[in-house]
Amino acid sequence: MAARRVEERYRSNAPVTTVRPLHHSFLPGSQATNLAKRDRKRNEFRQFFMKTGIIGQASGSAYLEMANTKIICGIYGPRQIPKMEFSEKAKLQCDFKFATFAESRRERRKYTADKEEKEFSMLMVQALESSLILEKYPKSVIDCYVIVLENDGGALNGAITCASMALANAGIEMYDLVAAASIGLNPLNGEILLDPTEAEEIEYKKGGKKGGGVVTIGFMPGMNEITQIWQSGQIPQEKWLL
Amino acid sequence: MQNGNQSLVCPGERLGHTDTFESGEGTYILGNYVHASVIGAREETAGKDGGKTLLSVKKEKEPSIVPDIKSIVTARVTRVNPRFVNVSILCVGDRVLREPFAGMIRQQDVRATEIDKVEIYKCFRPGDIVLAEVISLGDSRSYFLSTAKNELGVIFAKSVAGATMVPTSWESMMCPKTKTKEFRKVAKGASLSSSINVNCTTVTLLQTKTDLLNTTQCLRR
Amino acid sequence: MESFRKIYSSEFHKKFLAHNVRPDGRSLDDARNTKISVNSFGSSNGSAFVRIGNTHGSQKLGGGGGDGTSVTCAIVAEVGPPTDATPNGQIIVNVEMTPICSSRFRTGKPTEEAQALGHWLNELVRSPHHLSLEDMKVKMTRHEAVEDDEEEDSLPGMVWYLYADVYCINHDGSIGDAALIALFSAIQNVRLPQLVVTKENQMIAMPIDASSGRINILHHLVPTTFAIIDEQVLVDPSAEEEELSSGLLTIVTRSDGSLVTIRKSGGTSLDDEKLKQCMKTAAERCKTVEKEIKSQR
Repeated sequence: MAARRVEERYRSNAPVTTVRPLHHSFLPGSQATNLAKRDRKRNEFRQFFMKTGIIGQASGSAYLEMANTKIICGIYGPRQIPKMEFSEKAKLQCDFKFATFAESRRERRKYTADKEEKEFSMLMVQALESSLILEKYPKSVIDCYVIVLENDGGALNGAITCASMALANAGIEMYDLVAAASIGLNPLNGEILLDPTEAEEIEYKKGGKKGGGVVTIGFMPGMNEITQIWQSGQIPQEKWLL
Repeated sequence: MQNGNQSLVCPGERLGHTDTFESGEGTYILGNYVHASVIGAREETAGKDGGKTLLSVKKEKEPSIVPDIKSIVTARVTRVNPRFVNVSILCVGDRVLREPFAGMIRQQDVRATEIDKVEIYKCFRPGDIVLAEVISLGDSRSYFLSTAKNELGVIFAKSVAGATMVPTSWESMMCPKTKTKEFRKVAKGASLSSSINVNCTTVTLLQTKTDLLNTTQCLRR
Repeated sequence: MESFRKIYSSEFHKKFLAHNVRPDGRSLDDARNTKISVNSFGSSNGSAFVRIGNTHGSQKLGGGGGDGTSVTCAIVAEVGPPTDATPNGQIIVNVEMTPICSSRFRTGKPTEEAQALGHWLNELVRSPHHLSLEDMKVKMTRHEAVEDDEEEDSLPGMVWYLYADVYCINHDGSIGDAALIALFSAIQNVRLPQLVVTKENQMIAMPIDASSGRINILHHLVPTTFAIIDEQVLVDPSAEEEELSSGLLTIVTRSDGSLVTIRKSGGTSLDDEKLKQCMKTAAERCKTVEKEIKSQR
């Protein structure tokens, strides 16, 4: 509660407690329809749109759109480490944030980073750090800011891909670009699907008889190396062998 | 982005075998291959006396840089005390840093001779623009810089009266308004302001031209 | 050239201003183009993305900014009981200047600039002269499955509270202009859904259709910012010009031609003649921008 109060001190608030009405997919008995809605093949990606160099103030930037998921990333640096510490190589700092209005199926996000966003920031550092040649920039820090303007599934993998593009756009030397993707396991029929949407992610994580969950993988295509695997939900062992 | 005949490469792309190529700027070696580390155009330079060809990738955009040992930097003096001056580094070589880095010129690094007789107050004042060389990555806070060369030192300073001063010797400058002399460790020769004194009208013409181009492009769409 | 610009930025600009042009090729009274796109974010009830300058997306080489300000505003509608002060609900504006938009900002609590801008926008948007919130009553029905023949129990009278969050994406000067234009474009496109109340007393928003409510905008507000640099007045300054200026002046005009607010910061004086000229420029710009906003409906 204390954190909430600090956040409110600097911002305008409604005079009363307000409630956000639920999304219409929460009408009783709509789980099956939510899952049946998929309009593409199970191994098909949503349409991509990418653009670099959209934030002139930043040293590098990128915008990524996967159907309704919209992510923007800005790179600042290499710049001086604000804290006084000496290091032979650069430090990568990621700051992942959902816009307050990014999601339609849950309450508004807070203005300050919540635990999920902090976790995602950490996961991004893990996924990207090994792709950069950090020794080239001693005594400096590379700041990577990500805002998810709209989340319709795949926020983390989109953020990783987007940030890697922005880092390349900033001209920061790297071993390889990182591309990330997510797959989901449908709890109803045990099917494995590529690039789930937000509605699918929610249903998959709820789980069912056949497990259910989402896996995000960061991958460096040129070097053929995986930088990160992150799984939520539960996926039965035999599915891993696929 | 660029026209087609230039071969554009992406980070991680394999460019050639180390038997025939050497790794240059914008590339790195992994295993037996040279890979690109930035986005840009592939460039091959023939090696000296029949050696390996140097492979480099020229960046599309101004690359991100940090000050390195031996690089010449342009910095603004922020704080002066008897033992050292604090500066903020604005440019490395002729490239502009987006954000300044902190640097420090210690008393013993101001000039090459009579090191122990240096009086810092007679060398720098806050606000001066200084040309200096990076001598070490320094401590946790700042880079260590040196002006112990003839061509290094103050290149731009304002007098108490607010006018841009003219150098009169290697250790003094004169205010053109009041004709008073002030002490500085002056850089020899290069007065930056005169060398980059751009002809404004040409710049304007250039700008209008690009703008016209942009508008026509926009209209065509 | 670039290093000259960085080290002697005031001298650099003065050289241009002496010829009545600016480094980006504009004349002093030339505002950048404004481009608006609306409802790009389906997760909100209404949204707008505004870009001032560089509207055709060309990438300028070299540092030094000069590539246009961009701002996005999205509105999320929540439901709450009316209060004495807010019988028709309220619009709550917050401005987020995250570190993504400029190296001046760091993560943490909002800067004073962001808080002040947020407060200014709140004042403008809550004034009854420009917006009418009277149509903002929440339309609620019981979920059909629950509707028995028993007495239709009365649903509490609720009103909408609209959270408008302005995110600054690229800060290249005149951020207040972009924020206010984005805010009004977003408000114009807000669609308020019908609500259905389930057995568990949960409110569910139905998909948007023709019957969904809108907000009645009486007048569009268009701001124009001016920077004062040594007696000269520059319309729609870039971030670099704002930094050099000794004062900023923001004039907000309304679509019917009347003046809404003037906000001037900095200690420099401005004579009557110049102020009148500024007001004229602002009124002219209002017309073009308003046309752009209204075309995005």
